Formats: sequence, C-alpha cells, structure tokens
Amino acid sequence: MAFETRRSGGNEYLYLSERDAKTGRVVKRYWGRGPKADAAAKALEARRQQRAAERLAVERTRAELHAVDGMMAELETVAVALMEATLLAAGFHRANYSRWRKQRK
Amino acid sequence: MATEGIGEPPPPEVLTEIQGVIAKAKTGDTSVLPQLRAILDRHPGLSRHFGDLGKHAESAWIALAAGNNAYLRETLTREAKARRTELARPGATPVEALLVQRVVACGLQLDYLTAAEANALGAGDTYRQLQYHSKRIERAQRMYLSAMGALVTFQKLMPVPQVVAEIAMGDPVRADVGCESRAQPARVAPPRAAEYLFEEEPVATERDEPEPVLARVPC
Repeated sequence: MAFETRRSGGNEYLYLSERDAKTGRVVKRYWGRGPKADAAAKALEARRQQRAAERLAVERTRAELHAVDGMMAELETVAVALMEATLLAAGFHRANYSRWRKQRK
Repeated sequence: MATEGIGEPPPPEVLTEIQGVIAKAKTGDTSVLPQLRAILDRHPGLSRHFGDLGKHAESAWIALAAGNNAYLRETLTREAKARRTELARPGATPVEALLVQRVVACGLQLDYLTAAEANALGAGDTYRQLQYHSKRIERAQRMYLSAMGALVTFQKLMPVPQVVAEIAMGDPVRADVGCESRAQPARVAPPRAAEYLFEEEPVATERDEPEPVLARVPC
C-alpha cells in the first residue's frame, strides 16, 4: 500500500492508494492532514522499513543456502534417475506411480 | 560451494539421455531397455561421481551447522558416517551407496533446518522469517521421506551382487560402505533401511513370496 502527500494551499493532505477489493480498481482514500496525518505517515513508513528488513533477512538466509540447495537438487535428480534406470534395466516397471513390480514376460 | 575433487564430471547429455530413455520406458516401451543397459554399462562411474557430490552436500550442511565449532563438526561427521554404515548393506552397489548418501544428506539438511528454526524462535525472529523456516522444514521432511522410500524400495528389489559379503561382513573397514568402499559383496543382505524405518517386518512383496513346493512324483 503506497501513500502520498499532496500540497494544496500550503497544507499537507495524506492520501493512500489502495486497490478496491470489489472493483479491482486503484482508489485514493483521504486520511486527513496535520499532526495526525504526519503520525500516520511515519507509522506507515516504519512498517514499510520493517517489512523491507524482514524480506532482506529472508533473502540473506536463502542466499546462504543457495549453493547447498543446488547440490541437493542435483543429487535428488540424479539419484532418482539412476535408481529408476537401474530398476528398469533389471526388468522392473512401475505403472502410474504404483509399486515397482517385476515385468511379466 | 566447493565441488572440487569429485572427479571428472560426466557429460551433462548422459543424464538427459538416461532421463529420456526412462521417460520412454515409463510409458511401457520395453524396447528401450537394451539402450538403457548400454548407457549404464558405458558410464560405470556415474553413480560414484554423484555419490561424491552427495558427500560434498553432506560436508556443506555440516559446515553450515558447525561453523567454527571443530568439536561439533567432528561429532556431526562421525554421526553421518555411522548413519551411512547403518543404512548401507555390506558390499552395496554404487547406486545404493548414492541413495544412502542422499538419505544422509537429507537427514543433515532436516537437522540443520530444525535447529535453525529453534534458534529463530529463541532469537524472536519475525513472522515472515519463521514462515520461511517452517516452509523449508516441510520441504526438507518431504525430501527425507522420499529419499528413504527410494532406498527402501531399492534394497527390497535389488539384491547385492552374489560375490562376497563375507569380506565386507568380516572386515569393519570394508563394511563401512558409503561411497568409500568398492567391495564386491556376496550375500544377499537384508534391506537395512527398511529395518530403520519399520519396527516390525516390512510388508512382503511379490518377490518375497516363497517358491511353490513341488509335489514329489513317484518313479
């Protein structure tokens, strides 16, 4: 939710843009002016910064694990492929993700 | 992350080729099986190479968990080795060793993420961070169960080669299979991973059913 401040006649008016859930259109809502509007704007800015910091922390953790995640993904792909290849080569088959069975001759 | 020392990587087209053949075989086309066997024969080092990759993943999780704590690192390394020995049958084939390696790596991943979540809770992390941790744990649990399932299936269906086992069973060094042992076993060892998973006897498959007793015909 973004916010903007308009100047008109030397006064500041706080409007917030938000999407209307019913119509799907972006509408601007008037939130007031003066010290109350300033406090609301400050609170919104603090919340925005906090969310950015949280996102950054999650991204940092994700980046830390990125390399090992790549290895795990490769290991999984390869292990499954080689296991299936070995079982198929040994004469087993698996229909529709059911149990592996010996192929009938 | 370091992946040095895991030998010459197989050409990427080999895996694509195998996956293509598997996809065909899954549709019921048995004519591709000789081609599949030929590919596996042509690249015998495939599972060993990727088994080593599994070891690197294992080391990476240990490094992440232990940080600078050398004692914890040593403990986790020993624990991983013990788990490998526990799960692998003596004289396991490289494919089985790879599956065991995958289970061990997935187990370490799950342990690490669970500890990380506990730390995050203790440190008073935000809802978004905790949500991320719990999603990761859920995924890690699925991976671990899937790895275990694959190993149990493989051990149930594929007996270890009929060559030795005596050597591997008698010698504790060779018995520690994982990726390091290349011992050629002899006895059909029971599926260890199944014992690990189930307290009681695993459900018998078609292959486990006893051979029908033939009636003696008088001469």
